Amino acid sequence: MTHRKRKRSGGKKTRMTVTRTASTRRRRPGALRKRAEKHAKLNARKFTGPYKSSAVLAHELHVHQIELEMQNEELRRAQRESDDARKKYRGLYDLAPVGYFTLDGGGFIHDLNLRGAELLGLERANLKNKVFTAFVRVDVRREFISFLNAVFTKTEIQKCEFPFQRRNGTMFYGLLEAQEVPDRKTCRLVLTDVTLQREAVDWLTSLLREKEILMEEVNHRVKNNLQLVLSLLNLQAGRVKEPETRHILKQSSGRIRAMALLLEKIYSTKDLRRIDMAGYLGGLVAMVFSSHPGSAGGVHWDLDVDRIWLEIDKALPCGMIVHELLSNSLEHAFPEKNTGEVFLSLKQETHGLILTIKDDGVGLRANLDYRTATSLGFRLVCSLTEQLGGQIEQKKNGRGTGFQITFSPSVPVADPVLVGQNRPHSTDATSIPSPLRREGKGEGGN
Amino acid sequence: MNKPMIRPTVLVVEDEKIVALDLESILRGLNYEVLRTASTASEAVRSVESNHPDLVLMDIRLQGGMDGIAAAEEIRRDFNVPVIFVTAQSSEKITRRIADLEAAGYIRKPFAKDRLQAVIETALIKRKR
Repeated sequence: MTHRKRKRSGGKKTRMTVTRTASTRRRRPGALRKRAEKHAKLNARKFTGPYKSSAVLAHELHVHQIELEMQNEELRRAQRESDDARKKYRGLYDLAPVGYFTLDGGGFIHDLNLRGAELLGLERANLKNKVFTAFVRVDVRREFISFLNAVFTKTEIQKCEFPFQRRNGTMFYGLLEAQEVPDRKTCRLVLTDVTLQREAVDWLTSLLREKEILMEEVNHRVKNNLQLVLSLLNLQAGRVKEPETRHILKQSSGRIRAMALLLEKIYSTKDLRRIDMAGYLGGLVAMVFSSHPGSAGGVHWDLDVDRIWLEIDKALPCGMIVHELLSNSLEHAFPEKNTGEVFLSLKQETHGLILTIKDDGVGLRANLDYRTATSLGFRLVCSLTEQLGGQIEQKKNGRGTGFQITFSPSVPVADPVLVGQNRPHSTDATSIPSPLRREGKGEGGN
Repeated sequence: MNKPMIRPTVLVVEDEKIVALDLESILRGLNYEVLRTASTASEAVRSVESNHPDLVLMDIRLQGGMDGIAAAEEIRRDFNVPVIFVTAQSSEKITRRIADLEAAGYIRKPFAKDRLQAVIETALIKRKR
């Protein structure tokens, strides 16, 4: 621009209507000139006579004046927009539900919003240039200083939770999120009051702890009571002369141990609903073998259990069935007590779970039907199979005896109206097993 | 003439009388000399001090203010007698305390006779060494 002198055209103020945005004009500086030219032509004044030579200059000045007025208008609009944006930002800044702070490396507060002041319990004006660290609880100030150092040395947002103490002594827990700003002298810090969340977490933690203590207590009492029952049976067995009675007491102890083992597994895995059958059946087989040291001396066992987790309602009858059939094998299948093998498997198949227990011993007596036998062991096996909603099948395959029980792993939800109707009917010979007995000891091996 | 074999002496510390009777019966069946059962921790410490048993079978939750672990610490420190815990307690906190104590054994209730026998024999063999 060459003309510095500016003159209003006849003192008459020209009103302009600006429709384009400032950014558009910034991109196209010639456009403003063209518009000013157009405007000047529409309001053209005639310069004649001796002033003709000055006419061009006057025109130039006139156009330039218009151009400046348009620029002024633009600047005023930009100023208004900037003021509006600033007010909007300030409003949002002050009314934000979290505290915003600008801190320097020494922790001095350069700026903060109203919520920030409210959280720290003082007027905003009284907090500027104060040290933010003074509001962090005394015992964790060292950790806060480390946090602030991390903010000024790392590029990513730093987060940490600290307890705060106001001047009036009240406390709150605050979550801090902070990042250094590009000037590298200050950082922006967001402070969120998480006291309620913290209290909720503490409450839940204490509830969980109470539950754990209660579970420990129940676990202790149940096991102690089972021990009492077992001790009573042991003491009674020690005073009984008849081998048959001693055997019955021993069998009862074994059944209680099978249940106790299940409880032990439940408590040790911390999952009160389901149990790992591989672990449970492995322990159960070892337990039954160790409680039959005489008969099981030369007998080996082979266990093949898939990784199956069963709910307690299914795991307990399943374990009890294993206990009964395994004890039966060890007591009756190997009368010579020399060698033999017991095989146990639990497999997941498409139509359900298959529990198989078989041995290569002497087999059942020819005329014995396990479904009609009266020994407690086989009656339990049949009843527990029914409880599982499953079916039992005797497998006669070469030497020995085998049983296969098929059942569903899921616990059926019983419709109160249909209870009993959906269950296998007790007269159905294929699904309702009854007591069986091994050859060599007559009926009632269990 | 062979000298009569000296039977190891065992003290049972158990406040459930039925369980204590069962333990005594099993121990006698395994040919151990069984001292009079103690049902509190302080009674156990006094019995160890006066009878010097070879082994103590100790329940953890006992009558009185002191528990079995505290009694075992005292017995180990003052009398160097091995202690086997026989307890229904199986929480992490308890097992950690037992591990810190370097107990001679830990048997969970309900216990099995063969496991009891094995742990006792191991503890007595270690003591002889």
